[in-house]
Order: sequence, then structure tokens, then C-alpha cells
Amino acid sequence: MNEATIISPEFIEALLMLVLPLAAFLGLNILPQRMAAVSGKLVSLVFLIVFLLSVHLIWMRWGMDTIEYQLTWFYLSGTVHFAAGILLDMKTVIMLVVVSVISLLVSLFSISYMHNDQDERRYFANLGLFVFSMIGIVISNNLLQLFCFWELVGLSSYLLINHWYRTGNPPKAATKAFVVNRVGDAAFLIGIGIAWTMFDSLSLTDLYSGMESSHLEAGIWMAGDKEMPGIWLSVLGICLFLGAAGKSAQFPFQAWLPDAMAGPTPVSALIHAATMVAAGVFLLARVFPLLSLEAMTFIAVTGAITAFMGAVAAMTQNDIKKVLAFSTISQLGYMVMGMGVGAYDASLFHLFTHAFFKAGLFLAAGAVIHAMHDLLKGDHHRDPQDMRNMGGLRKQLPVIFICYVILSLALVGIPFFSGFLSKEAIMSGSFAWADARSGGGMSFYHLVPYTGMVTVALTAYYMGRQVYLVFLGQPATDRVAGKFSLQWLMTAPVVILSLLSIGLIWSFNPLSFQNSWFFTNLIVPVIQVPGYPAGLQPLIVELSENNHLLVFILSSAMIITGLGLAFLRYRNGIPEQNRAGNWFYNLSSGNWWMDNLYYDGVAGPVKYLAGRTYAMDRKVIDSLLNYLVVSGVLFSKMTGWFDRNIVDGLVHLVAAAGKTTGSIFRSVQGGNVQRYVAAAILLMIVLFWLIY
Amino acid sequence: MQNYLLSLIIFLPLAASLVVVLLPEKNTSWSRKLAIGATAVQCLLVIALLAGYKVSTGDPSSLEGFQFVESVPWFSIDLSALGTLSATYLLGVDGLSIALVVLNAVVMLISTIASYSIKEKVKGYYSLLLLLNGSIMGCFLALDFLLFYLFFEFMLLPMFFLIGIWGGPRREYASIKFFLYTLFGSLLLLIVMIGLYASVMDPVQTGSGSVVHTFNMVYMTDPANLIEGSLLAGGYEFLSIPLRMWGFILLFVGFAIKIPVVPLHTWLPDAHVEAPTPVSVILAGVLLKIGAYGLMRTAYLMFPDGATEYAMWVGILGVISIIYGALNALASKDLKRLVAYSSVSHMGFVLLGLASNTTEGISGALFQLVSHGVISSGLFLIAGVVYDRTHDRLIANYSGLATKMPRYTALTILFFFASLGLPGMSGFIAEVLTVLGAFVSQSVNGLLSRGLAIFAVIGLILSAAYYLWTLQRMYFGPFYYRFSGGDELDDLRRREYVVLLPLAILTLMLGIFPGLLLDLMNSTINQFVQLVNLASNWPG
Repeated sequence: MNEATIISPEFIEALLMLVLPLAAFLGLNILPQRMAAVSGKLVSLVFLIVFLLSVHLIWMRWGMDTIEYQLTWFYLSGTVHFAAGILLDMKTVIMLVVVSVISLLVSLFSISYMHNDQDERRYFANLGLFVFSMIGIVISNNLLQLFCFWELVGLSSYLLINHWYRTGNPPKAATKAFVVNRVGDAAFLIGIGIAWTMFDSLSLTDLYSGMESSHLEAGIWMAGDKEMPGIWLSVLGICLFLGAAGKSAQFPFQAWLPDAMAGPTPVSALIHAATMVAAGVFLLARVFPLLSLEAMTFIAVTGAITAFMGAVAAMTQNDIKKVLAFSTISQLGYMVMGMGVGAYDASLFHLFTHAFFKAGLFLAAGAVIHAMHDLLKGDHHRDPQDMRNMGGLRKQLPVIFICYVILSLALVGIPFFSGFLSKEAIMSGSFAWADARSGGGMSFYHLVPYTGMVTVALTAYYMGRQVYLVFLGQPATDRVAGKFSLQWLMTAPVVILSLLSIGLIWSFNPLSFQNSWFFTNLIVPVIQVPGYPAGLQPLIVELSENNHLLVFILSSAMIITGLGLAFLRYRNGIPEQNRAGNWFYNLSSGNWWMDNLYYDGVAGPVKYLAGRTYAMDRKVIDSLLNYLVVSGVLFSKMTGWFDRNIVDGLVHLVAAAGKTTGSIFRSVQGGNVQRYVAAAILLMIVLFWLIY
Repeated sequence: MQNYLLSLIIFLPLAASLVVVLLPEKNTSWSRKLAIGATAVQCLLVIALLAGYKVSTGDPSSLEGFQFVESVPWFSIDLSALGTLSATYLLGVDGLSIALVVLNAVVMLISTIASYSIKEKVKGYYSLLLLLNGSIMGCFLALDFLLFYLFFEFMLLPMFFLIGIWGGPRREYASIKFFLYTLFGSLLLLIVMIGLYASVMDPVQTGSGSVVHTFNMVYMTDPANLIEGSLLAGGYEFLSIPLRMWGFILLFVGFAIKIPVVPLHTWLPDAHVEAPTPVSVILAGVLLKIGAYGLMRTAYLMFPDGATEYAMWVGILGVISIIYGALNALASKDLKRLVAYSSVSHMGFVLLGLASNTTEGISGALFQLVSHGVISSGLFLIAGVVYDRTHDRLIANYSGLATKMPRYTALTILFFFASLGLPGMSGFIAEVLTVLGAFVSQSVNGLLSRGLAIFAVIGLILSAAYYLWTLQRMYFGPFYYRFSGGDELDDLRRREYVVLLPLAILTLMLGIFPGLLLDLMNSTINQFVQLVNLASNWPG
């Protein structure tokens, strides 16, 4: 790692890419309302510059070493400080290109899509804020700074989901998204705490080298003079992963993503399909060398579960965007699973290919919704996003139809398309991992790749179903068969993204991912976490080189099965009936009751608990303290009464007694000496009797 | 040459208060102008203080660590066999107090300006406000315990009347509650103060045989100044707890009421709900900070043995406050009560950071004091904006305010996210540092368990939940107001911008450049951490 002492052009470019979208955000916020119409063009121009910068950056950094620039953000003492910096390696520069390409295309698409929206300016401003935060995540060189941008991405996602705040649904979805993400972020923060405790630094390069030189001794994890019980080594990995799981909608956090579709569709394309949700996977890539064996297994299993659950839920959705949302969850599951099985390069590859085809699918879906709005104008009973109201749209949207098919094939993973290459790579890696972990035979580890395989079939099924329902078959009503033509500004981005989903772009041999230019340039970091078996990584690589044919045959069979089932089911007309009684239907359309888990399992009890504590606060604690205070007051009242009646009474009594005794004494004093002496002796006797 | 800057900062508002009282009754706008003028000048003086403040020094256990020190013998009584009773008019500023002095000046100026909605008994109001200002400043600057105690007690009166006269419907109940609770707390302080006085000598004047007792808070932080055989020099017990531990416990409880720490917090929601907006701003913005400041200045520095002994308990109370406050905020139906409970939750972080006694934790705690001062002031002003228009703060009575008041909603979002700890704003720095401090404590000094930090982050989740839920219910969705068509709900007025924008800018500035604040405090904080860690130097 070369740590640059002077700031070189690369860093200035990266900084510009960061600052320009922020400037766009700030600028649009003070832009007069009458100039709102230019906001889309302004932001697109900024994104174009960012895109050109990213291309120049990848040109300069291609195949080069990692470089880092850092300065101190703030000091706590002479030795304790927190840094701010930029880390540029291959995955960073590629990710920068991906983010800037998609944001440029989405902003162009939005110019047309958000035209006539009364809050157009706010929309584009928030888009700028999002790109700023996302680029911040990508270039950060330390965990704290990354965490800052991480939460800012959450904010911009919140604001964009909430764009149409005048109805009830988007605010709810936005709140849910942010709060669920916060749960992951809280775990992330604990992970940061562990790293800070052990390594006194949060800079990623320091953490890598610190992890390398740390060791496990008798169950104690030691780094330098710091030590913690060994369990925290895995807790570190799992906490960082939970942070990633929040953003990347992994089990059990996935419930927020389908709801987030309440935002404008281009936002779904950019944030909730291509970039923000992939940030979790990017984070895993960043902290890959810090993940222990147990943490990796945890990640792989979670990824496989998520991939399967997402795909099952996508099978019965009727909302065109919901299908894609669940598909995104499922595909993110693949990526996470890929990271967990150590297929670092394959997982990143899938992140990038998925970013393009899923953004394309969402934009195409946006075009379809736009068309449906137009076609259904005046018909308020039909939801323009419901696929049961569509059908036969290939006639109105021929270009979108072709693109949609290409993008779907990429998603399903058909040879010659980008998704094939990356998904094959993940599947091959996961089989190799399972074999390596089980030492030859079959074991529980094999559930991970087989779950992934079944999910391939499910993916083929739900995408086949969607293409049938939307574009093929018969129009649901006469209106849908009406005339419609799409603006080129909405078509062009979809076409570009479709072209980027063709396998040839990614590999000269579109049947083999290992020939991809991409793979040869991503170096898998060597894991040197204490306790990680030294030979495991090379063994997985070796095994995965030999299982391509098996994986290819298996996944082809799965795809054919899935597409075949979709074809059989949906070939003749409208097939969707009410299946409310069917348990599988309920499970799938209700997303495994994850919303029930969220509302009844977590949010409900927390609210109930809050209500109880609130009542307790008023009734128990407050009244207890008040009783204390009141009893204090009462006490003073009592003492007052005591004072008035008892003490005063006593005084009176004493006074009265005094009068009587006084007369006796007077008689004593005034009487003769004998009586005087006798009284004195009597008094002495009484006193002695009292004392002894 | 003596420097009178600190005295000026304290007595300028007190003098102005007197002038306001003497102003003719009929011209009420004069008193407002005079109050704003005096507070503004005070702000300038504080800026001068800041300009002259050197960041390099900062040992809070010796007078050399303080700057702008003013020392005038106050009184000295010879008690023959009991030694000499001496008190000094001693002022000074160090890294613990400088930021709070600045905060107080800013919050005071803003709340004085924000007092535009006060229409009754204006003269009395502003004179009390100025009185409060001076006594709070005195609290932060006094280095003599007797002087500190005087200012501390004196603060109660103007606050009592400000809530009791200009407050809401249940103002009498709230103000008496506030008064009784705080009075109870200061009684505990009084006990310890007398104990300390009896046990600490003045090392400069003592020597020639007769022992000179002192109220000097700086001398009290050095174990060498303990008089041998005295009450707090170890060896004495009460209910089988050493007296030194009692000293810590009593000071802790006394100041915990002010912070406030659960379960001693119940005066706070009532006081806040009833107090007029500017008074709420002062209450949350600076008054609560005196509790934490006092804890650091007295309990932690004078009884570090108690601080380390009970660190875990203090940390647990901090975490309970964080979670309990947040849960109550979640259940609150009144916007102001919600903000009040969120204060309880956020002040819990201060306690947690203090308990950890790590550089991160103490920095976080002090940063949180300032940050919460700025943010909660903003939040109470935000709540006041709606209240001014409708005299109704019930969350359920509103929906979709964003439609009618977009700019107001934008600022609300800013303050809500600042308070829930969004990076880029001051609350984030404070909370991250506190959590890190609490987490590393187990490895660094073994005072706290890591589990506390893990529980503390639950508070971060809950704060996101109650703020965003409020936004969702009250500000978004279709517009609705229960009692009218919402014509009175116009967007922010100019004077509302004047008070809200500076606070917004401050929280952003501190969030992006935390060094602005931390550099002022660093050296003192590091000395503080060392001093408390040297608890074994203390007898007993």
C-alpha cells in the first residue's frame, strides 16, 4: 500500500466526484422555485461530469496498486485521533463507474419521468445528496467515515422514498426503511467499537495489518498489548455483517425493501436495486480480510436463506415493482452468499452485473407504469402497477419489451448474458466451499449451494411469469390496448443498460467467467484472521476451477424447469385466481410473514413496552417521588400540628405546672429553714433515685 | 494586572436585570431591547474570552490549569481551635467549563430573542431571565464551592418564577415540583460541601500551626490537602459505607436530579411541558448541563475513589436513562413531552461517557453536553412554533404539516435527524465517542462492561423510531388539523428563522468540524481522565 503524502490528481478527482453532487444538492435547495424545471438538467450535467471523472479515474488506476490518502479529522489527544481519507483500489474505481453510470442514466430518465411533478426540484436535489453519500461510502478509507456516509445514504433513501409524502403510504415505508436500517447500523457501531478497542485505529489498511499480526492464544484474541476473549473475533465479523445486512436487505431485515417501492420508480432503480442496497456487499468486500471462519459461515448461510426467501416471495406478487424488489433481495442474497463462501471476486462481479440489469429492469418497469398511467387515465379502480391489469404491452412498448426480455435473461442467468457469468461464478464458488468445508463427502454445508440452485429455478419462474403477465398474452382491458408512445429520454437509458447486460461486454468468452477482463483484475484478499485455516482459500479456488461443468448442467436444468413451469402456467390467458386459502400462496405473497414479524413481533411489543413504561413513569415513579415530597410536606404539617398542640400544650402545661410548683417553692423559700432543708434533702433523694 | 472579564460576564446580566426592574412600567419594549442588548454584549465578551483562551494548559487539579483567574479574599473568620474559615471570590475557566460558558451565552441570547411571545408582565420576565443568565454563568465559572453553591441555589428562584408565572395551565404544580426536587438535591450538596470544608485545608495559608479551612474547589481535588484525621480523610464509616463513598453518592444524587437521571427525572417532563418555550430552551439547553458539569467538577475530581468504585452503577443508570427515556418518548402524545423525554435519553449518554472515564467517553460526554444544548434548544423552539400558532401540541391532532409548512418541516427534519445522531451533525460525534468510550473501558481500565455499550446503541435505534414516527404522523400524510382548516398554520416567520438557523448551523458545524470544540477541551479532558484514574492516591 502506498500512502501518498501529497495529494495526487487521482484524489482530487475522487474528491470532486464527491463534492459536485453535494454542491448540486445544496444549489438546488436554494434555487428559486420558478427555475425548478432546469433542476433535472442541472443534476444530469453534474452526474455527467462525475461519470467522465470516474472514467478517467479507472483509466489511470487500471491494474495499479492500491493508493490511500488520509488526514486527521479530529484529535482527542496527541495520540488518539480519527482520520478522514480516500482509499482507491480496483473495486473502488469500478464501483465508482457503476454508480456514476447508473445515476446518470437514472437522472436522464427522471427528467422525463418526473416532469410535471410539483416537487421536481426537491427530487433532483435529494438525488444529488444520494450520489454524494454513495460515492462517500465507496471511497472512504476508514470505518467511521464509511459509517457516516452509510447513514447519509440512509437519510437520502428516506427522503426519496418519502418523496410523495402527501399520501399515507410513502412516509410509513420511509420510516420503516430507516428504522430497520438503524438496527443494522447499531450492530455496525458495535463492530466499530471492537475494531477500535483492538487496533486503536479505524483505517481499513491498519485493520488489515493489525488483524494479520493478531493471534489467538488459549481462546484469547490478542493484538499488540490489547486482548479480548476469542469470541469477539467472530462477533466483529458478524456485527459488521449485520450492518451490511440492514442495507442489503438480508434476512431478517429484508422487510423494508419491498415497502421502499413506494418511492418514485427511478429511485427504486438507482437506490433500491443497483447501488445503495449493494453497499452492504461492498462493505463486506471492504472488511473481507477481517472476517473469521465462523462469521463467514454465518454470512453464507444468511445469504442463501435470503436468496431463497426473496425468490419464493417474488413468485406470487402482483405489483410489477414488488416482483423486482423481491428479486433484488434474492440476488443480494446471492452476493452475500458469495462473500460468505469466499468467492469475493464472483460476488463483486455479480454486484456489478446485477446493478446494470436490475437498474434496467426497474427503469423499464418505470416506463411500463408511466404507460399504464397514461392508458388507464380516468380509471381509478385499476392500479397501474398491478400486472393483472396489464398484458400485451409488447405492442405499445416494443423497444422496452425487447430490452425487458434481454434484462430478464441476464437476471435468470442464460448463457451469453452478464448474469450467467456472475451467477455461475458464485454457484461454482459455493459448491467448492461446501466441498472444502465438508472434506470430500456431503454435509450441512451443501445446503448452501443447493438452496442457491433451487433459487435459480425460482428466479426463472418468476421472471417468466412477469414477462408473460406484462408483455405477452391479452390486454386486461380495452384501454390497455390503446395507443401510447414513449419519450426517447426514457427509452435510451433502458437500451443502454440492456446492452451492458450482454455477456460479450464482460467477457471475450461469454460462456466462461474466468476469461472475463473483470476477474483477472480483481485480486482476492488473502484472509489472515487468526484461526482461519491457512489452506482453505487456495483449496476453494482449486475446487471451483473443476466444477464448472457440473454447475453449468445443474443450473441449465433449473432454468429450463423454472421457465417451463411459468410457460405452462401462464400461456393461456389470465391465469391469476384468488388463492387466498393456499398456504404457499399466503406465505409467498405475504413475504414469509416478515411484516408480521416486524409489526407484531418487534414494533408492537416495543410500543406496548413504551406505553407501559410511560404509565409506570406517571403512576409509579412519579407518584412514589411525589409521595416522598408529599409525605415531606405532610411531615411538616404534622410537625406543625405537633408544634401547635403538643409542644405548645406542653409549654402551657409546663407554665401551668410552673405556677403551681412556683407557689410551693415560694412557700419553701418564704417558709422556715427547717422546711427549706427538708425540701432540699427530698430533692436530693429524688435526684439520686432518678440517676441510679 | 487582574483580569475582570469573567466577573463582567457574570455581572453584566445581573446589572442589566436591576436596570430592567427600575425601568418605567409603561414602556415594555425597552426591557426586551435592554435584555437582548445585554445578552448580546455578554456574547461578545464570551467571544473575547474564547479568543484569549489558550488550549495548551488545562490541569483541573491546580490553579495553573485555569485561565482568566480572579481571586479576591471574600471573608475569613478565625474559629480558634477549629481553625480559620475562609472563602474566596474565585473565578476561572478551563477545558471543562469553557465550552459550557460559550453554550450558555449562545442559548441565552437565542432564548432571549425567542421570548417574543411573552406578552404579560414583560418587565419581570426579562429581569428574571437576566438574573438566571448571570447565576448560570456564575455556576460555570466559580471555583469556590461556597460561591458555586450560592449561584447554584440562586438559579432556582428565577427558574421557579419563570415557570410558575409564565407557564402553562399546570404551571404551579410544575414549578413547585421543580423547586422541591432541586432543593432536595442542593441539600445533599450542602452536606458534602460542609464535610469537604471541614476536611480540606488551604496549602498556601496553612503551615504556621493553625489550619486554614477552605472552600476552594481546586484545592479539594488534591489528596495532599486533606487534613489528617478529618471526616473525609478516610477511616470514618456510616452504615458501614466509608464517608468518602458517601461524599460521592450524595454529590451524585444531588447532581443526578439536575441532569436528570432516571428515576429522579420526573420533574423534567412536567417542568418542560408547562414552561414557556424560551424557558424550556434554557432548561434543556443549559440548566441540565450544570448537573453534569457539577458532577465532573466536584464528584469526579474530589472523589475519584468513589467514581471508580461506583463506575458500573453510574454506567448502568446511564444506560437505563437512555433506554427508559427513549421508550417514554416513544409513548409520548405531546410533542414537547416527547422532546423532554428525549433529553432524559440523551443525557444518559453523558452519564455513560463519564462512567467510562476514557478519553473517548469523557470527550463524548462533554461534546454531548454542548451538542444536546444546541439541538434540544432547537427542538423546543420547533415545538414552540406549532404551539404559538394553535396552542396545541398533541401529535395526534395534526397530520401532513409539511403541506402547509414546508420550510418549517425541513428544519424539523434537520433537528430531528440531528437529535437521532445523524452523521454530519453534532449529536453523532457525541454519541459515537460515548459508545466507543463505554466499549473500550473494559479493556482500558476495567470500569465498565462492554455490555453497557451494546445496550446503549438500542437507544440509537429507539431514537430513530420515535422521531421518524413523529415525522410520519405529524408532518407527512394528507394535511389535517383537528380544530380548524389550518389557516393559522403559516410557514416560518422571520423571527423564527432568526432563532432556528443559528442553532442549525452550529449543529452542522460541530458535526463536520468537531475539532472546533474538542481542541478547546482536549488537554483538560486528558488530565481529567488521568486524575480520576489515580483514585488510589486518595486515602480510605
